[in-house]
Amino acid sequence: MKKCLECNVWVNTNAIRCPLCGVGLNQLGQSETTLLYPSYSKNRHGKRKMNFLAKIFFFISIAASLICFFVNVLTWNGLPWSLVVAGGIIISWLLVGLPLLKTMNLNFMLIDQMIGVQIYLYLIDRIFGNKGWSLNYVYPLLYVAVAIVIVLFVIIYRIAWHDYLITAVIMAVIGFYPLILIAFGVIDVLWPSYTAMMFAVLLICGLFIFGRDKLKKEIRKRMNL
Amino acid sequence: MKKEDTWFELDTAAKLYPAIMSPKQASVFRLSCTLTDPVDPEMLQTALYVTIQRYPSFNVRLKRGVFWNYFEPNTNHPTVSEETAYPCQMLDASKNNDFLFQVTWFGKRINLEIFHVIADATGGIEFLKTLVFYYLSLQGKVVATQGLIRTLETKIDPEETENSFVRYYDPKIVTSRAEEKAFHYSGSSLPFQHSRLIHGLISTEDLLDKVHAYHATVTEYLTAVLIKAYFNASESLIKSEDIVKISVPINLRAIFPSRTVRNFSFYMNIGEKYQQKDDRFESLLRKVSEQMKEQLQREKILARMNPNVSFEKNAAIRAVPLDVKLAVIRQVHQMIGEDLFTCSLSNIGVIGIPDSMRPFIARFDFGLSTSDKIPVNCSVCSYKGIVSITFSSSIKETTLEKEFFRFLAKDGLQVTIETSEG
Repeated sequence: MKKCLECNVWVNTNAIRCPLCGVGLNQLGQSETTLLYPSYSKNRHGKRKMNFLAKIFFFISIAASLICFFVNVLTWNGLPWSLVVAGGIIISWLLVGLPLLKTMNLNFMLIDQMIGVQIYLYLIDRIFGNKGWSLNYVYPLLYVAVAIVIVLFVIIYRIAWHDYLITAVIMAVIGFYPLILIAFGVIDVLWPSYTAMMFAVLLICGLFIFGRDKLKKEIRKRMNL
Repeated sequence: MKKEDTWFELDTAAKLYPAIMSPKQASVFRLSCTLTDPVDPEMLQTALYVTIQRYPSFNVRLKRGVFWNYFEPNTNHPTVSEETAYPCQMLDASKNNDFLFQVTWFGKRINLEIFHVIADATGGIEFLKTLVFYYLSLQGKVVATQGLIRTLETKIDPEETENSFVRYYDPKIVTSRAEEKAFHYSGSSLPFQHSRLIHGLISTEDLLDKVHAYHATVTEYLTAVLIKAYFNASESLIKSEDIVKISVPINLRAIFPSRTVRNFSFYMNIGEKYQQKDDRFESLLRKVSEQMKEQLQREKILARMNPNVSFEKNAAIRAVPLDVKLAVIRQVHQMIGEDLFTCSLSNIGVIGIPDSMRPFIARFDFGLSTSDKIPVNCSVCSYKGIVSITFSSSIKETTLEKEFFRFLAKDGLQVTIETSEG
């Protein structure tokens, strides 16, 4: 054991200075102290590297978008193609970055990605001729694909399936959006939209038949009732 | 009822923590138990598997509801790991199998770090005691609970997971909690997510003799010493009208009987205006004692804790969506929450361990996390004749700790210092 004569306290340490006042310690007796706490130097290097990599990609993303924007403006031919580039970069972050974060519920992530992709493709459609393919075909068919994936999750991950119930409800509600598009006469090819709505109706039937009690409990939980 | 159907509301005190948690304000505390032999990680892991079955309120993940957060049974398994990070840092549940506590080991020591949202220190100690009990049993040691350890043989009383704040709620007893702002200590910060613990070990017997001579209690005495240490340590920072206020947690179970292992503590702020150095310690201690006796009255505590329960019971406030609530709580906490005290001094007292386990356990330590406004905190526990006083800090300066322990030494107590910095 060592002693600090300034502080008049004993110090159990291998250090040579008093942790309180910094004055040199006096060794009294011979005992060597075992290490009390880990040496902290080897800490979380991996995480910092990961962040650095993300920073590099973030910088490249911004640089690419800016450069394209300037080239687009300087050589303006009536087509804002740089928006497509910037949108594409944002979508890649959405598709690749979100899963890497691993903080989000898988299904919420799927829904976010679906909406992101839909907005992006609508933008491309508008810029290149406004032919209406995005609303006519991509929106409803992408919806059907994501709905199938979510239903599969509910079936496969039975243990945690109450986690996915709420997303199934959200998907069912989203499924009726073509009604609005049809009402405003935005779309002219109807069969994909009808398919999507049929899926939404099936989803609701399925929820009621298989998960009614679960759904009730889940809603009570989320509402803290 | 099936496992996945059970869920818990956050208790009254816990509702604060998801809102304010950040790497700079972890709201984490650490309870450590030093054994007489090096820890066997595999046995510790097995002991943890068993222990978690006994504490459903620890076996949870935090979820977001529409109006409040809630707990849901965690289907993952908690794991133990060797201690590598700095003590009392923010617990990232997503990297911890969604658990809101963490068990680590280093040498002979088992550390239990808990995010305050699931339990207070009294609840945490119960968990740690059970963990160590099963660990020792698995090692083949002949240990008995002697009624002091909650094991799987003792039935889980629903009271253990209740929100006791609500049980003792009385909407008629309320008072204003407006208080003067307190002095804030500061220094040069340690790097991000670094922290330092300094333990001071004193003989329990000597300390009791000392405080009895002053006609005070241990908490009163240490609080007065801490205020004095602040006066001495911050002479250049402090103004004569500044008040040093120590926030002393009260274990409500002592006043309002409850077996809950979740949060059931409140606090009292004990303050004293800055005085010159040569003022007598006895008079300071007397003032501290008086304030504590006054604030520890049952009615006074109820009147100050009831507004929290009214807040959560208010239908209009309930209807506000979670994110808005969290943002408001965060703002209010930033503006006034921590302004009212200089630091905490949390004394969980003597840790009751069955005689059969005592030969295998050398020591207990208790540590708190810090924040930007409160860079130093103090915590105390006692076991087997040793009082362990721990200062956790996120600043480089050790002036406060130095003044505190020098005062104890000058007052005739033999102090042994240990630190997390080797």
